[in-house]
Amino acid sequence: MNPAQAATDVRSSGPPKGDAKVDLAFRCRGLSIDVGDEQRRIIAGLDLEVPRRQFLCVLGESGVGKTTLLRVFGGLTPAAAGSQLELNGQPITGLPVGAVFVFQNYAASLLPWRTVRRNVELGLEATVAAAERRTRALGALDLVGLAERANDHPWQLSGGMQQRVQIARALAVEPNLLLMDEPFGALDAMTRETLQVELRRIQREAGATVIFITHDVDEAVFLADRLIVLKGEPATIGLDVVSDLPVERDQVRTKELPAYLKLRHMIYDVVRRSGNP
Amino acid sequence: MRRALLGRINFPGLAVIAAAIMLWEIYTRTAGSHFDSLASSGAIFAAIKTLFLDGPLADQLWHTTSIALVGWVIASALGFCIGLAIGLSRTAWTYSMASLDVLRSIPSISFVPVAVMWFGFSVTTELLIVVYVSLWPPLLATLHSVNSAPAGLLDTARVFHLSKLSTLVNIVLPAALPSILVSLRLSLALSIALAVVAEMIGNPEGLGFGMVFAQQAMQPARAFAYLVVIGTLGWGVNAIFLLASRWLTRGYESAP
Repeated sequence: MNPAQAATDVRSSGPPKGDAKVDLAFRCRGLSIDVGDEQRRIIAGLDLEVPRRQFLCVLGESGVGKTTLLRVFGGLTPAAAGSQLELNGQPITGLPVGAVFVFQNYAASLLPWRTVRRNVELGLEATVAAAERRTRALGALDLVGLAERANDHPWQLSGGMQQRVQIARALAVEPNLLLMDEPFGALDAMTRETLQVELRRIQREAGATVIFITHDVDEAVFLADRLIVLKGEPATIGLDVVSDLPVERDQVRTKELPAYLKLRHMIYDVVRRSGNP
Repeated sequence: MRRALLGRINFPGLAVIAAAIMLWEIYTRTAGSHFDSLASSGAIFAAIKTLFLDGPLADQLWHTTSIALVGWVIASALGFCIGLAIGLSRTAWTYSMASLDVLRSIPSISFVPVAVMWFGFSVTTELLIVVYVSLWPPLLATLHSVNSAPAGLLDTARVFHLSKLSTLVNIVLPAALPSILVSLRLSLALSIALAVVAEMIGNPEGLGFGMVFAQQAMQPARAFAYLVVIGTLGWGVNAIFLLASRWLTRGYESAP
């Protein structure tokens, strides 16, 4: 494969376009993003369709625009004119209802003066009555395995637990789309491995659609049903591949599978390739 | 419970204070005895007792305390509201910051003669001075802290579609609370100090007046007695406020 060909190799393995029967959680067409005073275009004409319940990992080198892309999906940053974004079939203008963001810096996004349970209830306060709020919050905490710490304050918990609280908070609102920005980046390696396994379990049990940003190739290969690599300036999709790893994954055995190594190799080939497409 | 309370008493600190009192007593009775303007510890405590039981000290203490506290409450409420309004409104901020900078740079004590000119020697003058001076710390603290809510928390508010009011009540104000409480503690100390100053210069009532009266009557024991009472008042009020403020921020990671 010569470099020029490989860099633009978008082996789209998502559902065929135009198939109305496939349930799409999220889709964007012609998405472009400009940043900074000079309005530098960092993402150009991105097309993406994410089916329901898919765990999608977005990879790319530092600075390519992964976080900005996710923030645009979540409505925190505006897209350039001409971009089309749809959540659940409804066009997104501003902050879409039904998409929830999970930040890398968990300490900065949890409210330290509230208990864990009340933190998880935050997204429900405007729309749900107190009794049901409490049930849903405790249910979400149970899902992430923190039900007994419901009355503690976030600063009394370890980093991994605090991140799980943030995930519980996101799940409590039963979102269509979970947007996760390198959520395990600030955690130590062992906690990260445990939470990766936990996250796959949670995603399957909750039936959530996840778009997960990371620069860690191993993390992406372990977690994803489908992987996308962002590449270039302005960035486009350099690789789009569905994972052939089994649904049940383990930190030791899965990483010994030939399929794992092959996928990993494929991604490194694209990521490491220098220069623009 | 008793053991916990006993454990909280600062015995070393108390011992040093007791030692200082005794040393002062020794000094004034020996090397310092020729100074007319000094009074021994014993004489000071006797003066406190006399003034309290037979004299005007109880009324004066009540006067100063109530004016200082009433003024502090008014100033805190006023300062908080103005600070909130300016902090939340870009327009208000643009138009008022220059004036605020100028006003707060003027030493507050220099307003006392001005207040006396306007309202004469009265309680109004005293209250006005207390309110004006104690206004500034909560005003500035509210203004700044409401404007500097942590970005991560504001992003969280947006992610969960919190209304502007909800963001203010659930995120901005709780985040601002520690800073506001510190400013309130400061303005409380200012309230008492300025009440005493106003009484010395502007309103012949209360502890400040009592002190000046004793000074003019050349009675050092009484003058020192007032000093001790004023100091104890300041310490006591501060201690109560600290307890309240620790309770209010009991969920936060670190108390102000």
